[in-house]
Amino acid sequence: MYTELHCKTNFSFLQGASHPHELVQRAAELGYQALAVTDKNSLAGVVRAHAAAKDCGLKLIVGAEITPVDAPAVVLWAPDRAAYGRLCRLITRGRRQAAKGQCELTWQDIAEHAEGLLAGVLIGDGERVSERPNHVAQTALGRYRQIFPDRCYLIAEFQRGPDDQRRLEMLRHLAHASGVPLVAAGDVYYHIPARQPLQHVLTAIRHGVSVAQAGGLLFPNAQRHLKSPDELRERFARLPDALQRTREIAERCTFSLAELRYEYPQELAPPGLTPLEYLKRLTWQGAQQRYPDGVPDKVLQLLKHELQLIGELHYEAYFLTVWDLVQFARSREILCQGRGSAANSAVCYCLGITAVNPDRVELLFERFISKERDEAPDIDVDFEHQRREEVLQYLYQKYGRERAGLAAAVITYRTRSAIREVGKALGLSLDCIDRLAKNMDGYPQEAIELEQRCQEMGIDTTSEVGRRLVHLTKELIGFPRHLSQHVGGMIMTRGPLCELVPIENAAMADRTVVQWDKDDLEELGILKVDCLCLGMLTAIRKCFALIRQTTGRQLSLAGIPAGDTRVYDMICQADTMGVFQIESRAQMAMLPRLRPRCDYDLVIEVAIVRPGPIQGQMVHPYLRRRAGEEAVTYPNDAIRRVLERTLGVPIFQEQVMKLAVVAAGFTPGEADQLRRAMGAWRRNGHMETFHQKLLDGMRQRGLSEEFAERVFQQIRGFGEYGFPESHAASFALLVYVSAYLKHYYPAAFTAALINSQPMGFYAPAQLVCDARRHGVEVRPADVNYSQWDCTLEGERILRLGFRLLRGLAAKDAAAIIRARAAGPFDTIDQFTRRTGLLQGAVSRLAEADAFGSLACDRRQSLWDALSQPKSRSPRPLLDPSDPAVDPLADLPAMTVQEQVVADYQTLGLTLRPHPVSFYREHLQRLGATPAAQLANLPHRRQVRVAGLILLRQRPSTGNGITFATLEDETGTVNLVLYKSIWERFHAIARHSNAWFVRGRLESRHGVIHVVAQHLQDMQHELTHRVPSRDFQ
Amino acid sequence: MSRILALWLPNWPVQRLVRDQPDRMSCAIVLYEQDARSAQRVKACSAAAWEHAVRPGMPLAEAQTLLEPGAAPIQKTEVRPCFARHDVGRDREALVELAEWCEQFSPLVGLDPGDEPDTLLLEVGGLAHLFGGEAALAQAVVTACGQQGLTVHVAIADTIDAAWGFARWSQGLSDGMRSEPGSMAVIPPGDVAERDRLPVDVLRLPVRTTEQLYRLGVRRIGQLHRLPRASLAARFGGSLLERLDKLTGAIAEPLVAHHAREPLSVCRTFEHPTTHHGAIEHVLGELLVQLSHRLLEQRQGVLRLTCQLVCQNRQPLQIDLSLFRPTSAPQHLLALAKLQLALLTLPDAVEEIRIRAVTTAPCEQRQGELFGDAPREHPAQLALLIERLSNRLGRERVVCGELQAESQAELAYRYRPLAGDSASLRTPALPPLPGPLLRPLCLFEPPQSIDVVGIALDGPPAMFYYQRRRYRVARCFGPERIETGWWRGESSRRDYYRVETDSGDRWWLFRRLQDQRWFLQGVFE
Repeated sequence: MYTELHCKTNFSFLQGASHPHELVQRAAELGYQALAVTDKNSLAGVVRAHAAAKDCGLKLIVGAEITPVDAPAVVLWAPDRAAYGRLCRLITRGRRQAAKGQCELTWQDIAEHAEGLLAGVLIGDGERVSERPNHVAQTALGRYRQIFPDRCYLIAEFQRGPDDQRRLEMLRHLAHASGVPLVAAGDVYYHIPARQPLQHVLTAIRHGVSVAQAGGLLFPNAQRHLKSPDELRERFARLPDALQRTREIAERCTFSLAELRYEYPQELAPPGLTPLEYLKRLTWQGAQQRYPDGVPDKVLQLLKHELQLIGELHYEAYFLTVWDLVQFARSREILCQGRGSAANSAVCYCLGITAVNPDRVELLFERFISKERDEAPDIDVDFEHQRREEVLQYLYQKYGRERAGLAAAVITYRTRSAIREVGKALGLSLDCIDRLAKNMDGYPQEAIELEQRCQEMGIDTTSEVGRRLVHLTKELIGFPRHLSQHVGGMIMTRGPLCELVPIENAAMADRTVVQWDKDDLEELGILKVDCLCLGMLTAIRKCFALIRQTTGRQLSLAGIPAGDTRVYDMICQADTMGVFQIESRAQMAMLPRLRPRCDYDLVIEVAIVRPGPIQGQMVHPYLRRRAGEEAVTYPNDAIRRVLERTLGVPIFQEQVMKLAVVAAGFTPGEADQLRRAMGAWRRNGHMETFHQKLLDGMRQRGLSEEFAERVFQQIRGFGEYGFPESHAASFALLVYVSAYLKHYYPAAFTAALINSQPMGFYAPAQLVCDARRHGVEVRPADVNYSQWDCTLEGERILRLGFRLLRGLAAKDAAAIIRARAAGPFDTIDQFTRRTGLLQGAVSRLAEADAFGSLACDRRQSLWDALSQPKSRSPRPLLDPSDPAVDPLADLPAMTVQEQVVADYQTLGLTLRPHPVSFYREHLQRLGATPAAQLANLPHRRQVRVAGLILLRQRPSTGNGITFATLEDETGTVNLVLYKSIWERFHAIARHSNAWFVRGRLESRHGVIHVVAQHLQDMQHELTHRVPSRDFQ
Repeated sequence: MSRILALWLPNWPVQRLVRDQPDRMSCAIVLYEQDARSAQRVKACSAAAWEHAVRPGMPLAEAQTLLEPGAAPIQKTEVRPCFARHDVGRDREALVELAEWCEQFSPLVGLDPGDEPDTLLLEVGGLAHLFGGEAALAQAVVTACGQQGLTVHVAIADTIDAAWGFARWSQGLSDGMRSEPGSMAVIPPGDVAERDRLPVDVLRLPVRTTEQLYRLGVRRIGQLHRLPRASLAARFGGSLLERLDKLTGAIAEPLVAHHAREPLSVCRTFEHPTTHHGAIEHVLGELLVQLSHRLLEQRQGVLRLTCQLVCQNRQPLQIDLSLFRPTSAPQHLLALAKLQLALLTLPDAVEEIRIRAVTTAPCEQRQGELFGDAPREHPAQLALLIERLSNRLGRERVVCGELQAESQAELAYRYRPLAGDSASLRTPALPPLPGPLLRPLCLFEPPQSIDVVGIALDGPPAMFYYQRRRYRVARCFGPERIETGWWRGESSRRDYYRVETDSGDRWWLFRRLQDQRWFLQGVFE
């Protein structure tokens, strides 16, 4: 019985050439007693190995290869929980001392953390070997023996190198002289010899050379695999003790990752109260505030029930943790909103974590926390995007770096990056690689696809090189490349986090990240709180503030009056530019057909226009049923209960899981696995096993094959984009709030959106246009009136802020506002004197026409601005270039058209007539219809439209269809370009920002498109570098 | 009075490429360059490529997809794409050649002073009458260039800047791609109206300044002229006025004539062709002295040198000299040349000798020593030996062995010529040697197939036969396994043994793992 004690996975990035599960499975096949996973200065791969080992019943030893700068490398194994904690601490220290991705340790560091750990010293690996061990090696080994008295081993590894016999003698001598026993190991980098080429490629990538150039960097043979017991016996024939000793070490290591117990921080409850008591108190207090007129009966029941469940499952500390976060955000006036499985509970509503009123929405808490699944609750909290960092830093500060960290995100090779790196390693020419990589994206659905795409790019996949390229690329896809940070998953623990998992530095300053990603954490039952950022929250908070300022009205997320019909009317007309989530083209196209009239309609609207439901062919059945064109039937009552609220069409992730339970007899645990497989099916194809199980289960329950197949297709459609109802519910609230603000406070809403840029779909130019269409007076940026942000000068009067001026620094704007406190500016000379601004900034202001209130025309003010000092150094007394009298210059007056061009160049928007309006007559002669008049034309009519292109989008689900939005002075037109048209007019479609389009009008259910048939470039006529936003 | 003719070659990099490689005329040519982020971007393109929506500044990969066979636009005819790296040096060189050719029109020809010039400037004051007037001169230039296959725009004006500007803007087109080839403009002396119509771009001011002028609505020279000079100076600095004055001729700007850099070559024509070796050697010596003076001026030494003997009605004979260290010593070069000359049979009388330094490198300066030329001279002596041998036997025959970082023994070394290579002056970083006595110094090439008797099927050898002799293995070390080279094709998989026979010889053998055959690859000596 052998135990491999020295084995790297591919989490020793660009070194190991096998996945953890491959190594574990191979070790089990070979009948190993145990396998130690010892990545280089890392524990990033152990959880995956642990999960695989659990499945095949192999014992896993947790360890790491540590490479101190001043001593030979050593492999450390954790025999028990305490020693494991020290190993984590040691790696944390090394990682925190070094830059991201690096680890710096010294022998001293190891000595301080040595207690309890077992050590296998690596000496003479790769060095020139002499029979007599040199003095240095002996001393080094002696030092290790000091700190690991009876726990120190000398690792003997033989790779059929040039002089194994002599090495063996040397090691024997060394072991004898130092009194350190020898132990056998294999220095494993891959599970089977066939991975040698991939390992070579990884080595070449690591060193930035091609394999052919890598020469001496490569291992000369394929011996670094897991070997069979027979082979090992032969290899260690002269050292049988060393082989035996692997068993000894395996027996000494009793630690398993399953022992890790996650414990919530406890300090949140005040002394004298248990966390549960405290949570109850907070909840009831919150309920009083939420329902000043008395808590409704329904809510009362819910609260009791939920609190009982929380108590039984011991989740109180988790809820308190989230509450604490939200409390902090509130104290700093950072707007936040919880979402996720537990977030829409009555308890969370009372704690202020969410504003979704349980009285208004029908959501069952049990659906989110279930006793039988024993699955952790999941609450994501969205914060304002500009201020999320404050919240993260609060957490670091409150719990300390030792107890809090962000979850990692494992960045893996995707097709594009894999083919690029493999191509380089194989020495293909750079432009060939570029071309290949450009045409690859994501994970190819089938392995064959990769070959096809290579062939399309002119690579012969049957040739030697082509075969190698395809094979190695396939192997490399899915390999981890480096650790990055999760978007916002924070882990906080009661004890030191760094004894649970190593912590390392992130690329961003002041961020620390644990070595495990969210799946690893979930596997071990470690809870994280997702602190995400959301631009709309920033905008809503700013909007609330502006409303308070102008009208005195205090608004809050929970305080917006519900069910306002006028707001819904606006939504039904797809007048939703700027509204959260439903402002995209696809959403806007859906609104007039779905006609949402209540909260739950919005929940569905948010969830249905997603790649998942669209690919699963769920949208049209739902629409037909909603319109009453199709009868709603259910195979049985259980299914009716699951699907009733969405008219029999599964739209949410929860429904799919529930469906698997009631229709196919999955256990809740299996349903959960199904959910995870849904997320990853493209990569590993686990879905196939579920497919069969699902079909069998449904058949047994007497459901038709056709129904079963349809359900499976729907599940598959969810792919990576499944959207849970619990998230949609929280989003729907923000949809409603933002729509409400847009309807009643368009000026404040627009200002808030612009002040929160970059966010959302639309640029300030479109937002301003939209606001003006809704009766808002927009005033230009002006040195005498503007602030940095846009401000309101009345309930429906918006003043543009300096932030819109291109190239104006915030500190210059601040100087203007400071100087203005003493009174308005009269002339540009005076302005410069008082603000101390230099010529560059002043001329930028002049170009942007920001001196309008000084009664200067744009050119005159630029002329004046240019004479301002260029630097702060005092002017010489006699400057020849400084005339005493500055004669008036005779500058040509600007036409309106020139003004518009200048506006676009300096502000990106104009308050003057739309650029297209100057050409209306010309366009009329060409037969173009203004955007606003398209609605009056019949369906399928041939039309011509012209205007500026605002954005081009090519959704991944659209079969190469490109959507473009064209704008003229009357509104926008949605264009649909089929692939053939796009290709035929590629040059115009890709590069021109002004089109003249001939096409067919599609006008149904109030949704208007023009299917383009012919494009013509109007760039020269219509635009002067008007920016457009492409492919976002 | 000065009159300047400007000859603009629109899209010169593309024109130049077609001029060098006429077969590319019909191609969609795309020239690219590596930008600072080492991304490849389109620098210039031909009209055919432009038709296919290729634009300067776009990434090369995008241009490639645009020009791929079968790519959009569908309705247009297919073209043969041609991608090449933009070669600034060659562009300049070709322009210089063209400048020399233009000396037929004017003794004073210059290049426009930009980094990547595409305009030639000719001083034609007072010589137009030779061609029958300025219009005729301009026409002559256009016609001559047309015969050379060049598209040019020609303008004659009072100052360099004006001529430069009129060549570009005389037709109101700044886009060389679409204007008529062979346009010409002759601006009469002292004409102000035409000049005032030129755009301000003609002043070649910093981009920001030009932009500001445009924003002020000042687009033409005339408008700029009407603004108060003092105000202009206060706003845009004195350089704008200086540029303006140069344009109008208020400040004289002389044309800097172009002078070709003399190539490092010398030649001599015999008054009477001769076959006399002594005479030839004498002239050769003189030429080498001449060349060495030139080399000394540039502090260069020669590494490779060609010496052509032009014989009557025959192909010229050529002597190539390759050196180990750069040298400019004529005696040494002559000595080496004589070595080769002695081997030549002259087919006919030599009428001309041409010598050209092909590769040069900075000359090593060595301080002489006060006392004697003791052992330190050895490297130099060795160099002399290497040079003599190389020149007598051929450069490829005097080589040094170099270890390569490579596990496959037969590929772990290579030979490199010692002479004539500036790289050999640096000592390359050698890969670490494997331990002592792990690799033999003597390798059989190719490895010799042998018969081996082993104890076990996959065990070490016990006895082997080589050249009909039997060797009994006394000691054996191994196996050392080498599996490598999969990227070259079939990988080589071998188990190596170092064996000592009972006769005391030490050999290096391996078993090929694919077919269990044995080979002898080396012998330890």
